[in-house]
Amino acid sequence: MDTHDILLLAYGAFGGEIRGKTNLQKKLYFLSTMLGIDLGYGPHYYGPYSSEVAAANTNLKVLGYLTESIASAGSYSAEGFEIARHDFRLTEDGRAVVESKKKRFPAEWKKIKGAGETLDAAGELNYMELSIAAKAYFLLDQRGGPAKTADLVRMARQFGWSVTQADIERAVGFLQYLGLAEATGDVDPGM
Amino acid sequence: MFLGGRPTVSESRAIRDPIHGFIRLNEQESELVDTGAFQRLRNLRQLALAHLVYPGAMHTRFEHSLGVCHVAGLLADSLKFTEDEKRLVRLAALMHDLGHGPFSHVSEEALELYADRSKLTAKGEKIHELITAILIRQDEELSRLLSLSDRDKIIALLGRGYGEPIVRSVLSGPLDADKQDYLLRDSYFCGVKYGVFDLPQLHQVLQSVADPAGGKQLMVDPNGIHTLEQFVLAKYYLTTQVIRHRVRLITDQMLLRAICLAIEVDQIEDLAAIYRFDGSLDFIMRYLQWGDSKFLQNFAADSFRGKCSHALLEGLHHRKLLKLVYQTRLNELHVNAREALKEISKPENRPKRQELEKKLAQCIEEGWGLTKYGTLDPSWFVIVHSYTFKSVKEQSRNDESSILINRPTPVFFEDASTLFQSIDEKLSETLVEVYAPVHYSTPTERRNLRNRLRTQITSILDTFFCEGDS
Repeated sequence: MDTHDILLLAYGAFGGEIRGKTNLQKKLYFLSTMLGIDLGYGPHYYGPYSSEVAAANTNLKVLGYLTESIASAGSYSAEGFEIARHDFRLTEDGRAVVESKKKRFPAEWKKIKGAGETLDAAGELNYMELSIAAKAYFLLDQRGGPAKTADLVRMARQFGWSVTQADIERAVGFLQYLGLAEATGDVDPGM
Repeated sequence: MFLGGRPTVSESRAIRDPIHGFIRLNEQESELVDTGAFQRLRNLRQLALAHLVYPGAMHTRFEHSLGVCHVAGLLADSLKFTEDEKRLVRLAALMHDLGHGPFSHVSEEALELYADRSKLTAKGEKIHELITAILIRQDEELSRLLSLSDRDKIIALLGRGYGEPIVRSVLSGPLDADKQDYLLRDSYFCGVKYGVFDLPQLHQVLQSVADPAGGKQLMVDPNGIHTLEQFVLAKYYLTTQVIRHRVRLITDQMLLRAICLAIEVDQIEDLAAIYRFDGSLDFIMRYLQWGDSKFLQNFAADSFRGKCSHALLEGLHHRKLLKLVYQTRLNELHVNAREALKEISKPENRPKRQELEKKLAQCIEEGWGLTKYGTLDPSWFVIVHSYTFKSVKEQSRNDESSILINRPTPVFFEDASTLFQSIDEKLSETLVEVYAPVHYSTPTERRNLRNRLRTQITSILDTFFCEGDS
């Protein structure tokens, strides 16, 4: 089972659609973290990024399994970094391939589906909130030991992006729900 | 010492280079260049058999490695690295290709096919990278010239990284020193202008930006978008026109097939020993004995005449190549065929591939006629191959999307480039091709051949993977 197969099953788990390149990267990052799969993620300014995942997504499109549409355009860089949102959706052929992959890799599909459901249940974050969560977790994970809520908040504030307190709260709540962060009582009142 | 000892010259030196002018090496670098492991790179051509298309492409990984070291040093200066960071990236750049085998990327594929992974502790690593790491860590000459600490740091730099993310960016990433050298060098030696870009200007617009969360990141000055566009286009054109040239794809596939046949059908032990990597020093010692010319001269020699692999290697030696008889877009085939052909090269699919190639051989024999190699089964020489051809926009998105333009809120290159926003991105495609030993004399005959076989081969590909599959 390679990145191509994992990505196809991930689309199956996320209802056949992923909205935005950042969402694609970050959702797959959390999926790989929860499942303990190495998808080649490395550090990036806006959180973990994998060229392997980006390439696999392109290949799915080239093979006719995905359509891509640009949902919005124009600069809103004052609030964020994603100027045009690229949405990816499974085609009919893509859905057929996903079905055949489910049969070929039943155990893996069960895990990916479960992880996808947990991610969905953790809340529908916007791409900026997902980036905060992913970057904060990636950095703390590299240092070793469990991520503490207070550390995540402190770290998220340092990013220097145009994010609100509410964005950070939602990102940290998301990580807690996934079991990737432990609650601690030393978050300062500004939170 | 793997390749025999010889005295080293302990002095700094300046080496003339057609791309960068003088490449200056310090004393330690100079001594490393004089080691057997590094001198061996003179026997590995940078572009394998691309000289069969571009006769000037005879340059080797030796001068490329010197060039990468030089560019890494320039980048380190531009990005204001510390002296120690600069020293380490230059050393790592110098040694980044030490693990390459004959015909570089073809050997990489063969190593992945035939390595004995049960004897390896690092299961997911690429074999040629493991070979580089073993060489750097255990080669006697290199060990004498580099401290254990430096060797560990260099191996880390060439792998997952060491220190600041920006330090690794110089060695691996969309703007790394390797690409910057090979684009200019390969263009020069091929005699093409596709890979040309403004190297000094690119270095002017690269910036080291502090990440508020810690560390430094590589970004591009907002005024450098056009310089970056030129670099991305240079890479695209060189990839499409040289690295993915249709004849070069055929020569690579012929080489790989020859290696597979030599190991599996002809059972040539000397050749098999080059690719059965087991992580041992014995293997490394054997592996390092081989370069491009020695490989071809040895295994295309008359003593192997009558062997399947010999037919292909002799063909390469005399530029008698297989011909492209069929090409189509993979997404025009049935979905089962798409999935199966995408992974047709994987070892576990070998029996299925052989069966398919037998059917294709029969079809070509009946429809046009196959050139015979004595009594050898002609289906060994029919090759089905699929690969993805990305549009410049797709290529830039995958490889360059991680490049940020340093605006108050940094934005991705693709979003910042007016040129790249306007490019039609539907031009990517995955192609499936069939190569075979056929003869034609004129372009008209070639056209007739492909037209005659087109419908039948499409039908075989469409139906072959549907039979018995869900």
